Amino acid sequence: MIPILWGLAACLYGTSIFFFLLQIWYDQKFLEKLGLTLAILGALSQSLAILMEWIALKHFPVLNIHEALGTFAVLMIGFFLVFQWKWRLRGFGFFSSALAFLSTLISYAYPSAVLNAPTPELSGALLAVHVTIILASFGLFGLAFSTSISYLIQDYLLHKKHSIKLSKKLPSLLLLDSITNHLVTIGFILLTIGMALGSIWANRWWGSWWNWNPKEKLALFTWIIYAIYIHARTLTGEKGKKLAVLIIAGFALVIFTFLASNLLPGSVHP
Amino acid sequence: MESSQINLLVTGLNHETELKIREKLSFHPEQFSEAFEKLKKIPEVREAAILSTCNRTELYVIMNSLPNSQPLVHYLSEFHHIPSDLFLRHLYTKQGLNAARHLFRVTAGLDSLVLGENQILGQVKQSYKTGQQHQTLGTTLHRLFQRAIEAGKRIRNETAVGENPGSIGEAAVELAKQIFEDLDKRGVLVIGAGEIGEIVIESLIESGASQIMVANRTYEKARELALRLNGTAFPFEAVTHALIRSDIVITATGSSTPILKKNELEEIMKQRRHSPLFIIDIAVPRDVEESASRIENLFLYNIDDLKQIVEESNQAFQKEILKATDILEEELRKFSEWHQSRQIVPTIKSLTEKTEKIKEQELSKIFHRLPNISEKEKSVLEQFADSVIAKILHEPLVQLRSMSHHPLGQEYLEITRHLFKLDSENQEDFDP
Repeated sequence: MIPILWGLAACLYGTSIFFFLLQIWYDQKFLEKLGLTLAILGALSQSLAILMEWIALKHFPVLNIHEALGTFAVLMIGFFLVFQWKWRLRGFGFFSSALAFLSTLISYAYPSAVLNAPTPELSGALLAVHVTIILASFGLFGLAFSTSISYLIQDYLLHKKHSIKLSKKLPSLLLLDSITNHLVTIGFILLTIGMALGSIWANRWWGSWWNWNPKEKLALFTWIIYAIYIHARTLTGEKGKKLAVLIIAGFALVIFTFLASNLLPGSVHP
Repeated sequence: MESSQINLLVTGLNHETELKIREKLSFHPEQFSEAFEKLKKIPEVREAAILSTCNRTELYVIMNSLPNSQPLVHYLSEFHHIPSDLFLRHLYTKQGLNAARHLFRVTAGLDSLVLGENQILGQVKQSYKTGQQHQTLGTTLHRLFQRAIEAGKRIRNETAVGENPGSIGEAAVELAKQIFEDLDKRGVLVIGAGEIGEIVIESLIESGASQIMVANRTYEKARELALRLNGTAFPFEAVTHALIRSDIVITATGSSTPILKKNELEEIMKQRRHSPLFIIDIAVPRDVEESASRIENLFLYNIDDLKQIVEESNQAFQKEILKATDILEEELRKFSEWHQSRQIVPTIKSLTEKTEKIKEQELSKIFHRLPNISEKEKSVLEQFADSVIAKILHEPLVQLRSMSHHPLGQEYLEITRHLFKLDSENQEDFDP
């Protein structure tokens, strides 16, 4: 049942991308509603799968990358709905559905096998909260990534001139900038809390707050990139294209930290 | 053939007629009572509505006989106390379905000076209400106005005909909105002055830009323009400072060499912390070095760029107009179909009335000849007559009703009226 729901979610996200694309092109409200409905159904289906796994395993299923990618997709779609409800961004649905679709697809590359009896250190609520909060921050960074991509496209179209028709299919530069800022600010706060919780957990089970393993190093690096953004955007009032590039780089690092750091030598991070 | 069915006529004038004449023929709200009273007194007029705005005066009437504008011209001349030869050549008159189409076009804003404008829809609604209040609308005008308003709403919902792009000013506003989302609280700096420059600024102000700064080599000129635009004047030397504070810049000086160079603008962008800057250079020769368009977060458009956008959006707008026309024709067809079916209903009604009348006459003759007939026998005879009539009329009536959307429907109606000699009796209904 769980694999079926998982696959259904992937299909629903995939089809919603299609309708969001059509919506960008034909600008019809019903297409957007259709895309939104499919994305919501996808998230519900995936949530149900996670819930069933939770009941079956008796701990929140975020202990391997396969499970975590699903939680990431659900959380991101949730944040997307909140922001879309408030701001009605053109083209936003396409990006978030695409990210949800890709992450669900990538989850298949990772084994879904779960430890039969997780060790006490892995079964605690603290670890689940740590991972979930960090996944939520990644969801927000994913959305900020897509608004930043939109920013770069809009910037390109406005520089190229004679493409006002295409340009009008995307939100304005300042709106994108301001929403990116909101997303990153909330995401950064969550990331900080999540890392602090991780540190508390590490101290309890490994006996040290910070261990300089590859994932921790990368996470710190990610944190610094978003901190630079916050510093530039909020404290010194910088704006413009370079900030969008920074956010895109930040999310690329998030993906790498998330998916690949386990492959680096010396990694013990779950 | 279709247009000859509706005895509808519109006569009036619109923005194409000069104001001097237009204002003489317009109706003020306080004149309506008298105007409608006098309209009702015209013997040829069965239903009437007056549409009077600052851009047009039109009379929509359903006439008792073939549409004829003569009585209306006379009415206008008499009511407004001006000789008809003064305005007659400006007057347009349309009949039947063409008159209906005219109202639909007017309501959709397709007959307006600014194509697709929205105000006229409300004015047509008002005209409909006024007609209702003065009880000059019959079923036909009632239906016509409802359909026209419906079509007007649909066209505004389903097409972008209300977003008339039209001008360089509007193109500048659209671009500005793609950069800044809205123009409220955006600083607009005007360097130099000129007619096109002012058009662009006025468009920006109309769209919400409120902080206007004006700079000019001649400070007096800057002050003059600033006064007119409700902005502040700057000495030309302070332009750099103003550039840092503004978001949209319009340059229109007569300088023969660029007044804003790339390296200067780069420095300004740094001081602006790379907040997007939109420069509209409408000067010829250009005021801003062309290479400046490569600066990050700076969007430089010259007069030709804007012209091209206007052209593109005009083409798109033409498409929207075609879409609007399609919707309009669709709604017009609905109205015309309704009207045709209305034609059938009275025909059927008079046909059944006629047979009923014959039945009653014949029955009373029979009852007269049979004085001893019982009540039961009477009712049997009555039932007999009813069922004979019903059986005979059944098929023709079914056929007639099914003809309502048939191209020959009107001709069948004519034939029916002729065969049963219905017209002489119907005539009474038509005369007021």
